[in-house]
Amino acid sequence: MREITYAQAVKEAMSEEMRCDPDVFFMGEDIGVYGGAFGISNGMLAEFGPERVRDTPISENGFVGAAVGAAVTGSRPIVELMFSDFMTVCFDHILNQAPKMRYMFGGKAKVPMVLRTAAGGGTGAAAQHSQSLETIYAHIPGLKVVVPSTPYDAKGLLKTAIRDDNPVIFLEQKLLYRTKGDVPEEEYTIPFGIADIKRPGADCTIITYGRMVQLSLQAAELLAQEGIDAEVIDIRTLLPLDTATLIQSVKKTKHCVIVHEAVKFAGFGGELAATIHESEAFYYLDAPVKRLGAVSAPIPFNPVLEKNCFPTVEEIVQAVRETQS
Amino acid sequence: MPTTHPKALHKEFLSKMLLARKFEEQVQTLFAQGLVHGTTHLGIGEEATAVGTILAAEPQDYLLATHRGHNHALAKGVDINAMMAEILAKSDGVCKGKGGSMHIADLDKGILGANGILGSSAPIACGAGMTIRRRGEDRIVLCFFGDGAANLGAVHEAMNLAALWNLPVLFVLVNNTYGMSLHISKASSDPDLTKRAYPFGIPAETVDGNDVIAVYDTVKHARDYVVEHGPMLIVENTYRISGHSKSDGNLYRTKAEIAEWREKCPILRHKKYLLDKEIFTAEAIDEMDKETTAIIEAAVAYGKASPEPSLDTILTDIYA
Amino acid sequence: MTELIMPKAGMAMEEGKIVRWLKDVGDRIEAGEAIMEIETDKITMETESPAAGILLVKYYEDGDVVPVTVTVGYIGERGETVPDAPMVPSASVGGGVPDAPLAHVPAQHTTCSTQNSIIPLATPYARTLAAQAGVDLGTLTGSGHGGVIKARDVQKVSADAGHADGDTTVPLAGMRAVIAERMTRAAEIPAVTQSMKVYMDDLLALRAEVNEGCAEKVTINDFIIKAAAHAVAESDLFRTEIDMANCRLITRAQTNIGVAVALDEGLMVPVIRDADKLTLTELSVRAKDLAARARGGQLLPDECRGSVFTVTNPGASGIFTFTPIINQPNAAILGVGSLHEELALVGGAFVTRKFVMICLTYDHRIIDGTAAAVFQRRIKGLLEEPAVMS
Repeated sequence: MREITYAQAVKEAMSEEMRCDPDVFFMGEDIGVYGGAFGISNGMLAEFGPERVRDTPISENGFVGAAVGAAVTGSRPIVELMFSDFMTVCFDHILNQAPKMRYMFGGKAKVPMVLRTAAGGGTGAAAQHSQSLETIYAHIPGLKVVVPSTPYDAKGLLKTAIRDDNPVIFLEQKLLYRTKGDVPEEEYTIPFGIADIKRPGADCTIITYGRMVQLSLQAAELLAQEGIDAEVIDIRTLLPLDTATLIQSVKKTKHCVIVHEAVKFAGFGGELAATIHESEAFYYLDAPVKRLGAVSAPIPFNPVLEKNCFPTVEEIVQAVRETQS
Repeated sequence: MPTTHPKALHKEFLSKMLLARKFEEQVQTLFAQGLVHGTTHLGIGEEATAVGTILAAEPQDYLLATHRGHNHALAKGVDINAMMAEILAKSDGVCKGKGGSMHIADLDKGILGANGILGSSAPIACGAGMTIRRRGEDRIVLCFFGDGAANLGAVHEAMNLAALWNLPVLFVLVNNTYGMSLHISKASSDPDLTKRAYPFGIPAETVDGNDVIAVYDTVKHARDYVVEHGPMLIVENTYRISGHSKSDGNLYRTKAEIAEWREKCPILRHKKYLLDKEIFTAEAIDEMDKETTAIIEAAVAYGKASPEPSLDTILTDIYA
Repeated sequence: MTELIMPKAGMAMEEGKIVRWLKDVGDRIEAGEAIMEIETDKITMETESPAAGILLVKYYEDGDVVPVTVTVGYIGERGETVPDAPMVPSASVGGGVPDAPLAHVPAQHTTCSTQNSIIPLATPYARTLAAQAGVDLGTLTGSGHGGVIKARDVQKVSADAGHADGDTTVPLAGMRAVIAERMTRAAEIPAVTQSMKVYMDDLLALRAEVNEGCAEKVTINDFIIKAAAHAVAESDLFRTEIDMANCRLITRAQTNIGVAVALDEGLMVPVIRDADKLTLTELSVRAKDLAARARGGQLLPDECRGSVFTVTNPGASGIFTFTPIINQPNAAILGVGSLHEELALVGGAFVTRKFVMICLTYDHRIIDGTAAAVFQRRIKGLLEEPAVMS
């Protein structure tokens, strides 16, 4: 199979969907001739023209709101926000408008839009360009929330997002854009709400998503050398959440460690832990569920400080070990 | 500029304004009787802005209403029974009882919703305009907002986008003098709100919002401009006779001021015009009044008889 | 003021019945004095007062069934006000002390001692396994962080119960499975065992006489079977079966005596039919034949059915007394100990006497103690004067 980068996978998904559905268009800051801040859309302007690959002014509340209006009138906009932190300036449309219209309007409206953005830290971008805010969106009924961890998942999930009739928050991982992975040339999509067991194991379930999937897999390899067989589950979509796979896995392994890059306190890991505790998996737990997430601090600029904010491979290894002790 | 309008149009001006007025008066009564829960924002005194504007537009045009949106919905032709049922939170409501007074929407009629968040309708209107342009459709977007929302960044961003992308959006600024309790002079550095359009190169006009014929003529003209050239702003000056919401004690204005505006009531004014010009007799106008009352009474009966939504609908209509 | 609760008097006890109050409201009571009689699904017991004082209130009456740990009354001094209604238990599991602090899961990286905890700290999975295996978590020492009992601790204990290095396991099957099943059922019988000494000198002398010049010797056990058959034939009670399902007693006409035969793989009880009608010699021949065929695996199924009474004699194994288990549906079984000697003072002179202990186990549902004693004395008499039988 051919290997492409995560960034290429995102572009392929958009381009393929735009080729087969004229209602799909793409807008965002500097996505045209510049090719996007992360180079995702290089070449798309040439293929689709300025109407369908539309550069926007620095006016996030304006163009995200416009995407809502376009979607509710039958278009299928894809919006790129340069950094996920910028979503905060258009929360009204993300939280109050897009996810609530269908409900408020008695089921008559559809809001098929995808809001793509680059999330996460590790790039030295400091406190306003490094956050992982997915938990906020997972808290809003009416939204769907996707955090892909591989090129294969990014492409398959984005195509599903574009075809979905609901507002989808698609949180790409900055540090993963250049990572490569197998992506078939043939058409495929990945349904939402299906977790992916990235590595099967018998002794401890590591539930994770996004960038932390890679770290968890590295930790699992180190643990294997100690005779601890960790299972790594990538939830892929936070909303809808595939609770069945998580519960089944924990019933099997009896241990659970949750890892995410977002701040641990009040993070999505709390929801995942509660999912285990509220299910029959609780009675199979042979150690408390452990959570790993970022420390409760704005992301610092200094690279050493920044690195120490997020869970590391060593910390994941240690957390799994502790469940076994 | 005297224009001649067909008699049928005059009848529609009056009947729609009467419908809106009597509907809201009825809502007020139902509220006092404890039959309307939550809150409701009435636009008594502002009827000419909604009726004049919407009748000047085409039926296929999109409409984004404000939180004070009963007038807009009724003028656009939402079924009055379904409206009343919605106000009463019943299952036959136009939004199945899930939206209520502040979120009346009817996509079949092109109403993309009344909005509880001020100013948010403006960027959404731009998006609707993008769909129209992309598909080359013969329709425009009527985006209502008020003098309060005019100070929001979202409105300015939307005007910029609409102008930048030449979107078919008619911004309709209903200046009812107060943003809740705050007089326009205390909210806007320059109360001439037409100037809000100038930085974006958008033309703007002001009209007496209590003169339904003037509103109609202005918007008719403006719609042609929008179809031809792109966005435009109309500022329709009027006055909210009713309080902001049901908990308004009117502490920020005088009774004399309200009384003065009652005299300027757009419905009284249009009735007088019809009589003066001998377009309708007093009896005919009386007859319209009675007909409207009967329609409202029937709507109340319909709304009261409509069943409560079943509990399982809590979890329906969240996702498509 | 001290609360009086329905105590948890057993691991599985969830509620108890107040059979009767032993004190009335207003009565003075000492700490440790019986205050009420309660009944669990297992027992009736008296509950002791936890404090000295006046019984101030009773929330439940005689005959009421109350969940464990629920407050049933208060003991205090006159004038103290009591709640209008019983307190809801604050701890529904564990030691039955309502206000006992529950153990907390330790904070991150702190150790926690289980010593002061009413409930041992155990992981949910350890609790699940312990509940399945019937292991009391209170008896375990946790090997986890902070002394937490983990699944492995429970698994180790339940494994220790059956396994050590070198142990082997075979499935329970065949004769052993039948025996296990029947013995389990026998445990339901309210059985009494009583032992009696039987002097054997006369019997031994007679046996020597009988066996003089005979190729086939009569054994002591043949005499005992003969005596038992005699006594059983005389007593309807010892030929009676109980049929609880149909609430009836069935007295069998025939005196068919079962004789336990020990085999390597277990035990069989072939039946000598109409044993009372056989002479000692006939009976002896019959017993030897059945025992031989039992050892050779040649018994017909019918030859092991229809007994009304069983004799079991472990022979010269040195056993003094034992408590034989009734061979269902018999009403009783007679066990015979080994032959022992004793020194006795007879007419001012020391003599040695030989004796066996005969151990009669009987079903107390059918037979009372007096009848059993009469029956047992009858056998003793027959054996001590064996000439009567021959």
